[in-house]
Amino acid sequence: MNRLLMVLVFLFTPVMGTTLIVSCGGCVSNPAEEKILLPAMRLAWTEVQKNVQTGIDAQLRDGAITEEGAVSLRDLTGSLNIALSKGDLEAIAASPWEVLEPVAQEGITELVRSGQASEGVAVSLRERLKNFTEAIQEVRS
Amino acid sequence: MTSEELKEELKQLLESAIKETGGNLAVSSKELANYMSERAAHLSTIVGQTGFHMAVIAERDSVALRAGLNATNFGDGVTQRLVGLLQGALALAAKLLAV
Repeated sequence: MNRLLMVLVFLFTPVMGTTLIVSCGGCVSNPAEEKILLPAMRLAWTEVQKNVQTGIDAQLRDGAITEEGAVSLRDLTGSLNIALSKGDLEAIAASPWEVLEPVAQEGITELVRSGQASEGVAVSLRERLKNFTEAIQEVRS
Repeated sequence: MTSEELKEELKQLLESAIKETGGNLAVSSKELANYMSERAAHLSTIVGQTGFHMAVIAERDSVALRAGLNATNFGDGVTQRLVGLLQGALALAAKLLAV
């Protein structure tokens, strides 16, 4: 039972301790960022963005949106991508996530429909989307 | 491995990792371990299904968001290693529970 703990701690602990010393110079001291989960949001966004893209492609294919609409959604996605990369909290807060979130949901549905993910896998993808949405709301608060 | 044993293992793992990094979580290690255990339990039901690897990454991301990995407490390098640890722990825990 303890093997899980021992193996993981053995593998990661020395590296983590060393990295802390090395990376402290990159730590952000802005109090406003203490509650903002930028590293975790950037991590999740890497995959959430793919769900959005898949959703745009599916909606375009099904005629739910026009090519112009797809371009607009891609622009919104790109803007959020830049905001997250820069850590621009105002731009993140101002992003129309309520427009992109349903598209990401559609992307997850498309993954199931196309046989790339099971329904159980989709549950995990939707859980991430829910947590990402809550993080966006936290930025806005 | 029972659910309670898994929670305790994960709690100890998280506490060791956080102590080493000197950071703080937005939630207690017990609360996060409970969430991780819950997500690992879900993963254990879908081991081997199409896209399982995507699910592991998604659950890792969810745990990172719940953990409150922010830019103040964790530099990017530390975050990357914590994320690696979370992913490894979730995948292992899921497979242990699935046995």
